[in-house]
Amino acid sequence: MKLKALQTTCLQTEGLKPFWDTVVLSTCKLIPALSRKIDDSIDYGQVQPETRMAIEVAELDFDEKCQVLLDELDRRKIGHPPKILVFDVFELFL
Amino acid sequence: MNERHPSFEAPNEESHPVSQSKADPFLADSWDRMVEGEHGEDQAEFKGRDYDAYMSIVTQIASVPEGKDKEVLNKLLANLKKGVSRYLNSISLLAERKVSEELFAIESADTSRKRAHTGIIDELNILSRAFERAGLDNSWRSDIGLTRKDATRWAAKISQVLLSELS
Repeated sequence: MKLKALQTTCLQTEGLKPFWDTVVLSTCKLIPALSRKIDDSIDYGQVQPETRMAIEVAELDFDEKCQVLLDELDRRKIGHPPKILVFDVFELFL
Repeated sequence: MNERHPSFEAPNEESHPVSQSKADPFLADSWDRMVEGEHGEDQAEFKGRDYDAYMSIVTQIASVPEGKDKEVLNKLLANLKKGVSRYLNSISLLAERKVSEELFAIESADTSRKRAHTGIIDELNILSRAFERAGLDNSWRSDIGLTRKDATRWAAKISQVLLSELS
């Protein structure tokens, strides 16, 4: 699991855990919004506008928190993946 | 979104007194090697036995003539999708609680997750039995695997497929 290595680094490096935690918490907001998308398709046959809005907001938040973490890793010259994908973070908790 | 949010404050490092580790050059190298191949894998994202099992369910239901059987199978498939959705939420909640490290909240969230997990296994088994009654091939059930871990893996993969279908 590729992201597992980054998680380990973040949890073992002083000062990085809070940055990692913000990414995890942001994932925790985005996943329920994406789940609502699945529910909408079953309940209404299409994605509802408020669900789209919730996803958009949560995605922006996730992208931003990832960027903050990646910037911090760059500053510390620690290697990282080019992009953090939400389901990769999610799968760490399965 | 490549700009740092102006209101973001550096987290309090003192509250996490973990050991200092230096930048891992091995990790850096492996990430660098990964850059080019990363998105090439996206094309193959929805291949494999989990995806095949899901497609077997969907295509077989689509081939059933209109009537009571099809109605029941579609309803059971919708329940399964809902179960996947509930399970995603329960894992998110547990992950959130783990970060906050509140023991009671973690235990409570974990109980919800287990319930949602069991729910998915039940939905899969119910749908499998309905397939058998309708004279359809339910070998997808054994392809998914019978352990709780198999159900978890399948749900995580299929949630991404479901979302991609809606994009």
